[in-house]
Amino acid sequence: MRRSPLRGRIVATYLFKRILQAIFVVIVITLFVSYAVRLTGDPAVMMFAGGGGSMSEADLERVRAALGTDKPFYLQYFEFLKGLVTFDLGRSFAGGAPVSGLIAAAAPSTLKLAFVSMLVSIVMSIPLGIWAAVSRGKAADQMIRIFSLVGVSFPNFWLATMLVLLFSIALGLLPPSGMGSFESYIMPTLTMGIILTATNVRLVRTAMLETLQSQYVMVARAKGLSESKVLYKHALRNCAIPLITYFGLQFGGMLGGLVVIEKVFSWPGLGTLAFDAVNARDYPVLQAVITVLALLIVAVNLIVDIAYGLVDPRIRLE
Amino acid sequence: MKIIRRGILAGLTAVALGGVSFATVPAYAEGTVTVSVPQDPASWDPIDTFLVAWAAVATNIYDGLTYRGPDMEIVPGLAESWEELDDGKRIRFKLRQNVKFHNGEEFNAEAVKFTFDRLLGDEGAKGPQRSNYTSIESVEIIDPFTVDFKLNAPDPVLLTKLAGYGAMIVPPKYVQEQGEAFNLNPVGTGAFKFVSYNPKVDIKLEANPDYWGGAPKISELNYRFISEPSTAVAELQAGRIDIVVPPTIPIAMIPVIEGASNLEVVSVPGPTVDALRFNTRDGITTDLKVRQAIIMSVDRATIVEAILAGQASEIVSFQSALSFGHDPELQGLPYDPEGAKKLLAEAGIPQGAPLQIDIRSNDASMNEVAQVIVSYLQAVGLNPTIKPYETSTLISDIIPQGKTGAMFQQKWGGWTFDYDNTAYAMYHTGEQWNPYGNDPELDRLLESQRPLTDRNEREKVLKEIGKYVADQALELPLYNTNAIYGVSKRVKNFVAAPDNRLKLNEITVE
Amino acid sequence: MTTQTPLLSVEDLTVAFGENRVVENLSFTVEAGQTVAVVGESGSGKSMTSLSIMRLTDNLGAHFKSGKIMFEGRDLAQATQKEMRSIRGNEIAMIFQEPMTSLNPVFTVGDQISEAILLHENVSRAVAEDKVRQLLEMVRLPDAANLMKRYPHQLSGGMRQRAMIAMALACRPKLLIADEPTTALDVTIQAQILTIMRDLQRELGMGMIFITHDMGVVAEMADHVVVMWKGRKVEEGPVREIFANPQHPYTRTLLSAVPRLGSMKGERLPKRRPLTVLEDGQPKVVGEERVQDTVRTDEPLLSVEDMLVRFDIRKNFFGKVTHRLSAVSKVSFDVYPGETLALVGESGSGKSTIGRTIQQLQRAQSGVIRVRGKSFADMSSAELFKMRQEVQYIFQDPFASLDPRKTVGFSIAEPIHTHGLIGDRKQVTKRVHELLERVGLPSAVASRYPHEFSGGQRQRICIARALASNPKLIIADEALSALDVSIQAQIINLFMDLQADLGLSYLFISHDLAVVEQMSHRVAVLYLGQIMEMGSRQQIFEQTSHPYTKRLLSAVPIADPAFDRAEIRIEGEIPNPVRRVGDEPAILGHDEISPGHFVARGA
Repeated sequence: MRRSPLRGRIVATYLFKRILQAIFVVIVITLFVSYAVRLTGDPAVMMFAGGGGSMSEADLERVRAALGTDKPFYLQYFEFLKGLVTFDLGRSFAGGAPVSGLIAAAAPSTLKLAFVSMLVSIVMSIPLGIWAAVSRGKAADQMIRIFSLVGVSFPNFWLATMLVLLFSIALGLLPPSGMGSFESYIMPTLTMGIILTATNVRLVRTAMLETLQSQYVMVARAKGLSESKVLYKHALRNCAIPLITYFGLQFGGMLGGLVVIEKVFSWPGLGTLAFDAVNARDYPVLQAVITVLALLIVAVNLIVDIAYGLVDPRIRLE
Repeated sequence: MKIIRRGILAGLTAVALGGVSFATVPAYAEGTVTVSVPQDPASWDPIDTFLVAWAAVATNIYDGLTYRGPDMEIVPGLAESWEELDDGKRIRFKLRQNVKFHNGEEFNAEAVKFTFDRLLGDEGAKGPQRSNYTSIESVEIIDPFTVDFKLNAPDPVLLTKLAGYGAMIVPPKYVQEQGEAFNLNPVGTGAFKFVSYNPKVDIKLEANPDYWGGAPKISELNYRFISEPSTAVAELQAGRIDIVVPPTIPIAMIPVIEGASNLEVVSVPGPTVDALRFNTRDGITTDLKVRQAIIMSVDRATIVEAILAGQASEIVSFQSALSFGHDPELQGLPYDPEGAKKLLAEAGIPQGAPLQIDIRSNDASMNEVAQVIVSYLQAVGLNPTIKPYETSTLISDIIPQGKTGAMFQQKWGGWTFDYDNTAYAMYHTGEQWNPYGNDPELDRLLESQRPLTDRNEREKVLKEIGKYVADQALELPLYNTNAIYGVSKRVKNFVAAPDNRLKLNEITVE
Repeated sequence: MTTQTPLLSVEDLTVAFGENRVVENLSFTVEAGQTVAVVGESGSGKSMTSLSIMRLTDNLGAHFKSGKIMFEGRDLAQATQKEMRSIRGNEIAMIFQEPMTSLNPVFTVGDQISEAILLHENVSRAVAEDKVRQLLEMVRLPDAANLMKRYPHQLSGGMRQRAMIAMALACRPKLLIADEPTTALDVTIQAQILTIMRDLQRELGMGMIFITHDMGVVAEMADHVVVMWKGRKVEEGPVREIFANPQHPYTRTLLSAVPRLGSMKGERLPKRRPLTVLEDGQPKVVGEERVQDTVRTDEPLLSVEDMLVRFDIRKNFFGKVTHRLSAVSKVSFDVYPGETLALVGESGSGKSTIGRTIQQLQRAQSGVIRVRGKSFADMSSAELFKMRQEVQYIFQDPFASLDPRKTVGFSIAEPIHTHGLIGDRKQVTKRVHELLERVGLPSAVASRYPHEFSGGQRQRICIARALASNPKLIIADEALSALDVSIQAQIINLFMDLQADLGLSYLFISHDLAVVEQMSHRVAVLYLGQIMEMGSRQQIFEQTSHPYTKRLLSAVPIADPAFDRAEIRIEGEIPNPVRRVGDEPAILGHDEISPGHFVARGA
């Protein structure tokens, strides 16, 4: 209690650093993406290219002027930054809908998908990983390792299609695509969950094997604790740091993998939004999606940092 | 990737052929039809887009003054009749009476004038559609149900253009009230009324019982945006979708649908044509003999049969057989690898000369076709390589900037089915699609046909253009692909539209 | 001794991993209230014995080939894991070697101790916490209530080991197994822990199995001794018998190898002593006795003047340092050619930092380091590089300091190449072979890899590598600490032989006062980064003047059960050397109480 003013200041410092980091990340990433995407395509041309429109240079100029893409890059980018500060992300080149509305509609879909997938993977990978570690070298361990190896080499696209064939077409149990009822979540999250589990289970196994060598695990056994208490109370909590770190990193990586899942399952999330935006060279939407993703990753890092402190007293803010 | 894709297809086929139980058709409310379109156009305003996906939906919401159905005939739409005046520089339309927009506004000459003033004014300047209607100088109201279109030059394709896209008639008051919000809440005079739109998910329509052409025979019409072909087909198989609109179903997936007892494939020749254009500025393809040799080395008949499963037809010039200006008499260069080798030898091309072919990476058919073309060209002693580009990059950067290899994919789907529309963009000097060409003779021919109102006269010039391009061997013409629909058998009276603008007021469902 | 059944009786126990027997035909008994020491070096099977009694060997994949473990009428060797769980922590408890890693870092000390109570005794949480408080007070941990809420990392090693003892005693076990409980601790802390354990055993009347390699600890703690060698019991008997009259050759060699503090009384110089080694199972005395008169006092080889090393520990938001660790505060000393200067002290005394600074592994904030009169500050980078050749460093852990993927020959030749000492490839190979023979290894081993060697052999390889660059000074940082006593004795002799032959100087950094007494010419005693007392080995060990030196010496266990130590109760922790900026420790001055004998003033 006596230390609370100090603690408050440290927390403030920490948050300040995180915010600076977030700003830096957003600027670097959006600058790179905005520039790169402008190098390889012109939204004005894309508008005409849908089918059957002859376009003259004059037509293109007219549309570019309307979109504002005739201005120099630095001015366009500055407009974007100004938009970020004033919370006005502009309008989509395709259809003119406000970008903030599109993001607000898409982000929750992606987040739900991502979190449920993560949850599915954690729920599957932790018991499996622990089981593999405990039965090291035995049949169960071999089976889990084979599953992991096969799972890692599954393309998510293929796995998704196989699940659709089984559950939607052969059994008629689940809808093949779309977001809506509880059932519609099962296949997308299962696909992502299985793929994540394939890597996570190995990680859990490795971390667990290392922890099981620790003397405190021996001490816990020497106290007479049951094996499940030894594993799930004493050992697991000590594996948590590498696992949380990895899950955090994975979350960022997964957002990329979700583009494919969203496409296959016609899931109206950020991935679909980004995919269409790239195809149409819809800069405002693309920049906004990238920004949101960057902020999400920063936020996940923040959560990871907080989680560190929760699971490991050695890392608590002092 | 290709192997995986084949695997999936095999799997789908196996399930379909095996006749494993299909999900029973869900109990829909009476008369609901669900259609999948490959893309969300994001705006429903007619002036904003050229997307086929837009037209597939919007045909059911809006009407134009004219109408062109699956039979490709131009018939009255919101205009009951019309006549050409002043040597084709003025067209007078008699409008249909007692037609109301979905919001209750009356359709009249005022609405027509508003629509075109908007398209040609500031509002239209922001979008791409205006470029198709620049021949219109002004729209004049003669009486509440008569309008004159005053043209700055005769435009023989105008009546066709009035049947689609930017020429859809919009309600003046409503558009003015809504402003930008009109994009997301479309109102027209069409057979179906807008109910709701969920970006990237779906758009829902309901029957317009007061439709001037007669009330639709289904009560609800829903469109879902599904870009992934296997997903669309899975939904079709699961009975959750009734119609899959092209371009969604790849040729390779046709057997899956054909194998399902409750589904069928309906395919019609469409507007889409594919060719490999030559780089006539640099490299060996500047030589006419080389271009001819390349054309002669490729057996298009085999490609159409073996790769495209007959879902396409060979072309000699860059247009569909349905296109105005198509010349059935025109003979292309024959498949003659020996002759090709001779021509190459005459041109002094060494064995193994390299050749780069730029294609769209997401075009599954072209990726396979290109492989076959490579082997044909290898057979005559060339050494081609394929360079796939992301479509946006290819069409908005590589082609307009003239950064292509020796050959590059041109794909065109002009909905007007008029060769002028294609040929002008493809061959006229300075056009985006024509980075290398600079032929005054060709420019003259292209320009000369534009003011001609005499259809026969114009058709002659267009045929001449087709022949000229073939003689110059500006491209390796490939094929005209069919528009492939996947349709559930519960849908009756389905007629496939070559241009994807599928009007669904006549269909019924079980 | 008595006719009643012993508390624990191990009969003909054989433990194996697959076919590899780690304990063979072992039998011994423990009476209630008795302490049995199981003594042996690495690989003797002593730890496996203790884990077998707890049946924790099951988790390691070991199994019993034969034998019984009778405890209170039950054969634990036949018990199920479920039955064992009610015994573990309840009737038999165990303390492990590493206090730093035996406590789970993510739970509070209180939780970890109460866990066993809640598990085995049907009591409420409040009652359990109350018991924990009593236990912590019993092991003399101050401020028990507050301590319960602390996490292991907030406690020093000694405090953790006491918490560990409290945990083991939580359910008042009938038998306590202590596996090397003090090995990793500083001597003063070791003395405290041993006292606590002795007192508690008396109080609770437990039987105790004390597993150790340290004959000093055995002499202090045990009633009865079991000597193990290569998985077998070679001798057992009452503790005085074993020390006074060892029967088995192995026991005799073991005892002869143990350096005993005070055994050099009256000697002015260190002395190389002959060693008893086992040859074909028979003890044999090898080597000569020689007085190590090697020091040449003309000019110091190394001269350290006012060395000051500080580490920034914590910074505030603006990057300004708020807390510093004063690792070395104004330390001065000289090392003469052929001399061994020992730096002794406990954790945090700064002894290793001094070594690392001289080896240029670290920078000093101020002070002058001179080699043969020339200061580091005045040297060119080429000269500084040459210093790396002349001053060599040997670490505590020989395995970690050798590249596991390189042959030992390659590792030894590396400094020769680095400093370009010999150009010719053949000559290099010859030199490597010579060096290996010099440290007592056959030259043929040059092509082998580190994992093929034992700990003692690896340390010999490290010495050969250090010798490869013809050094003048070797800094040996706890170089003997990880070795078994018999090996340690051999390496001590090797060091002394090399000094006699090559005129080497050693800066010998160690916490083991008995070894220091035997091999050093002069000794500097460090405490919190400052020298408390410095002088010849006779001055330090026989005319001990500073209270800290006295305390240190009194804490060392004497390997003689007959020795009756004056009971000095050592209390308190080693203070934390991290201080707030501006609150730096006072620099102590020194008095020269007799020629060459310096003692810190005041404090």
